[in-house]
Amino acid sequence: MIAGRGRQRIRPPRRGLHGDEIDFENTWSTIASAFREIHTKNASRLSYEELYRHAYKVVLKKKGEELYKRVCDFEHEWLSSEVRSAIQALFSPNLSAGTQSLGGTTANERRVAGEKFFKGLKQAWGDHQICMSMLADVLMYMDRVYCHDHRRPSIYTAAMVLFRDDILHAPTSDVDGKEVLRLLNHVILDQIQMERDGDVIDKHLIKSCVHMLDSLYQDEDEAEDQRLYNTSFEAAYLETSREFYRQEADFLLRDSDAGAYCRHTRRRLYEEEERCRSTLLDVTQPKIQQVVEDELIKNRIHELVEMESGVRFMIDNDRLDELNLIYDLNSRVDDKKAELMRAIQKRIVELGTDINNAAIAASQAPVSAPMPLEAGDKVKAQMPEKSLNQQTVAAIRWVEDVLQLKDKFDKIWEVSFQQDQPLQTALTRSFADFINSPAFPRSSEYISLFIDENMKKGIKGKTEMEVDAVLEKAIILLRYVQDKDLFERYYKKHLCRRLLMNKSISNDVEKAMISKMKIELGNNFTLKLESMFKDMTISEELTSGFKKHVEGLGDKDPKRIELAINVLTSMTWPLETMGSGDDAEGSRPRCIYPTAIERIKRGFEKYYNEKHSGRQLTWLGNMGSADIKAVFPKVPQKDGSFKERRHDLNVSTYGMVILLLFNDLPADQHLTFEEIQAQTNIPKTDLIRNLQSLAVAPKTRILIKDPMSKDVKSTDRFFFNEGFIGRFVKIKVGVVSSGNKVESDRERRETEKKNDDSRGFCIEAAVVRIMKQRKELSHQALIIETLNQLVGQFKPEVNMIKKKIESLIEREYLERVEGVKIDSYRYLA
Amino acid sequence: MDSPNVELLSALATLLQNGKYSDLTIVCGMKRYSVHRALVCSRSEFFDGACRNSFKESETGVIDLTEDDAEAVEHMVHYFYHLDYLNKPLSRRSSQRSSRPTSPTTSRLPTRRRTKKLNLLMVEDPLLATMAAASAARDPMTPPDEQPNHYLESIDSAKFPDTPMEQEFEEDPFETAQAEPESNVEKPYLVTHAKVYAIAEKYGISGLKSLARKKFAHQIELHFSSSELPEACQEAYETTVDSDRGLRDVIIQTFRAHPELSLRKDVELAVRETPSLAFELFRMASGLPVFS
Repeated sequence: MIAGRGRQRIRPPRRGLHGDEIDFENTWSTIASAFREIHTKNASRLSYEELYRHAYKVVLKKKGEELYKRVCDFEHEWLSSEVRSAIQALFSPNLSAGTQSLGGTTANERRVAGEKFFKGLKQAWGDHQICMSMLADVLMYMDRVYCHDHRRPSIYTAAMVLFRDDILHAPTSDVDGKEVLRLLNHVILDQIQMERDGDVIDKHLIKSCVHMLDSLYQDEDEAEDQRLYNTSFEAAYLETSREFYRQEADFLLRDSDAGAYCRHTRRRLYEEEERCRSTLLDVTQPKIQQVVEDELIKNRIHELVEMESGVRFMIDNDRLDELNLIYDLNSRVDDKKAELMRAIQKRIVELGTDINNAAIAASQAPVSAPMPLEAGDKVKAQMPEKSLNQQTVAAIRWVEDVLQLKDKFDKIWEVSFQQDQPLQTALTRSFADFINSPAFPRSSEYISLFIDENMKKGIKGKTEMEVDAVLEKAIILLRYVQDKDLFERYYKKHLCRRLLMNKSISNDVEKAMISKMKIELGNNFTLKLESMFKDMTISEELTSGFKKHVEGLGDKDPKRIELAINVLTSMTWPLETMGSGDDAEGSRPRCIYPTAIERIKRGFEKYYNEKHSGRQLTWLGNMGSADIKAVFPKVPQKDGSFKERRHDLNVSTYGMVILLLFNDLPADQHLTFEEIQAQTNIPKTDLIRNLQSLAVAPKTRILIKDPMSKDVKSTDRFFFNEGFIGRFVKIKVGVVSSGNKVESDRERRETEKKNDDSRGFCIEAAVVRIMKQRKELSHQALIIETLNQLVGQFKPEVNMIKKKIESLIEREYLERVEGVKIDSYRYLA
Repeated sequence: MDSPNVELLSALATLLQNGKYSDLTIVCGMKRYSVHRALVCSRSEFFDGACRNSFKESETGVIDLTEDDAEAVEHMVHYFYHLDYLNKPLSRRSSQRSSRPTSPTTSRLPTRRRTKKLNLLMVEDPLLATMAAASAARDPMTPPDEQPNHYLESIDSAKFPDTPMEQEFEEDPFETAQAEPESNVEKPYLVTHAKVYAIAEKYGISGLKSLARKKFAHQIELHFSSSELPEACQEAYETTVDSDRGLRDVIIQTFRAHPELSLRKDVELAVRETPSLAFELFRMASGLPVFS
């Protein structure tokens, strides 16, 4: 049949390219009837090859356009007659009832009607898709040649558009003429609302309708964001959801507490996410999440945080779970968690201020209660023990309260805030805020006192671990303190007393504290503190060395006075704070010691000068103490006994000097205040204080004052109290202000003044250091560098820096650079 | 030559030969081909469409192509399994027409020169060039019986190392190697190639289409004076749409290169009968772009 074809010249007459109209009509009617079969699911009787060949031939004969048009018409006809009527049969008044009537149909009826509607649409859509993919396969050649060459959408796409126009955009039979698409949207939204209200709906069914919307486009461009799902449904969905959640937020804020609100919001977020997965499309998920977050969180977070049961309530009642919920919600809408942070910070400062105020109140309460009219200094003199103790207790109480507050917030941070870094910074800042609050200048002092108290008593009987924990607490608080130099001042003062008065329980613990501070605050900070310890060690050696030296002299004197001495380096020790503040430094009057004392003093000076030549020793009588064995003569006592009484008296050095005066005095003679002052040359304030404790304090009244009153006046006369009764053999005569107590306001002002002075030096030193290195620098840069250099010690006021720069210019360390736009300075070598 | 390519190719040849695992039958007149859906449907949208939809074909597993040219169908099926057609004696039935070159050496040199020319022609049309490049990728699978040719070629290339065609040979060895065996001085097969081209277009087999075009272009250069030419031209112009330039450009190019063709009586007849050919020749003669 094929053989010899190559050479065949006689061929069937070729058909021309024109004049095939009848042929086309015939072919088309074959194709059309086949399509009808396909639509009625009878395709298995059709030959694909034949249909393909027909379509191929039509296109080859340049009838592609005609064919394309006929197919479209055919589909249009099919959809608008057969399919549309099937869909219309599904409409029922129940469908759109939700919007139109208030009652009449139950949710259940609506749901059933809706599902029927979904099923019908799904069926129609599925059939259309299957048939069209078969048609498209048959018309493959047309798609490949005609549609491609003429830039027409493929027949499949065209048919999908027809479905959109003929079915979805067809009006419903309703009076309001709503189109099917809007009805579909409405029913889906209605069902989703049912689900939100707790009903169970057929998610799969809805999803298949959603898929249909997703595969159809708004217009012919088929742009990705022009899907019907996006343009028609999603927008409506987001809008109704927004409205729903706005109302829900209103309702919840009114009717439930913050914790419940958080839990509800979380559940809603989860539900919406789940809904996008099971019922709608994943692309909607971020959008609806945004809506829920906006309506339930972002727009409400302030109200939520401020609710009566809000953050404050949660903090106060340790609702860690709920705080965590709030944290979680807030971090969804705000990376900085600004609202939560604000509320937390506010609460910390509030609670901190409460603690501060309580401390101030506690330290003032006893002062104001018994003697409301008395001023600071006198109060101190008259109610010494009680009020000062109360103050110390207040200080320690303050420290512990602050630590407790910190523990509380640390726990919240750890458990509820997932150890969020910015929040930790905020917490720290808030603690620093109230600890360094200008309204509460005592934090440095209180922390030092807290350490002092623990060094003296608190750590007694504690294990090493517990002690360490206490020290660590102090360090934690110290971290917050801005003015480290002020703390150093107090710490030195308190340490000084502990060392000189032997009040420390354990030297090891003291040193442990120092090394902790060294780690925290650096070497510079602890340098002076460490040298204080060194002085103490050297002094011990000196004392024992001197003792041996005296013994070696061979001058055995039974009445010899034993000397224990502490030699303190003058720059290291805060001697000026040791209670002799009235006198200007250097002009301290020399105390006249009794001869026996004077002798041994000279002896030591000689001994010391042999060891270290060129050093000057200054004796600080106001800081020492003496043990005296006192014998009181036989005088009748109240209890009727009549015998000698011996007491070991522990008095201050000045007290000893005063008492020794009475040794040489006949029993009934007296000394006036002025006589005592003249004979001893003890500074007046110290003298008053010592005489108060010797003659006024009831338990240690070794002298009798005349006239008897609480105040010591320069005209008073003093007698030896022969009838002194002491209940114990050993009696300690306390001198006012011998312990580490909270400072009075006056003392504080002094301390601050001194602190400011030393700050001045620090600033000047820093400025000079910087300028020496940089030679020339603008004003602004100099200020910033100075602040940076000093940040570890304190935060200087800019004004103070300016003043110091002025003063350095006056003293010709610096000069202003002339003729520059920005103020600048030059270093003068 | 025991390369993996050869292994696959011979395996495919065996599959077609014994019809093992066949799940689809192509019928054409009296001829039945037992083929494999996996191989056929993945190459042609048409076969895929026939098998995936619930038409008669997918139920029966038989596709009747009797309406198509039997020879073209045979070549198409052959191509599915051998990636080539008319490269060796076909079945008994067609062997009478296909004769092997009597002596490879005689045809070698002229063939090569022309090959070079043809390739330049291809370059004129970027679309064709890309198609040729795509099909070149499959060319390594040239069946093993071409071994002696390779040997001789290498001798030739040693002789003329500096000729442009030599460079071409080096750049695209498979194209030349593949063009080699099909050169058939005795039989033009122009109509056959045009028909294969048409069936490849009809069923959307792009590889076969470009292969047929290449063979057609090659043969027409050799046999432009053949009496087959008019029929081949008619075939080419009537079995595809005007926008399909594959064979049309080759034909117009041939007419341009050989103006004497227009004087032939049989050619004239064909041109008269084929308006679109006539139109394009007119455009060519007028110095207008043949197709816009």
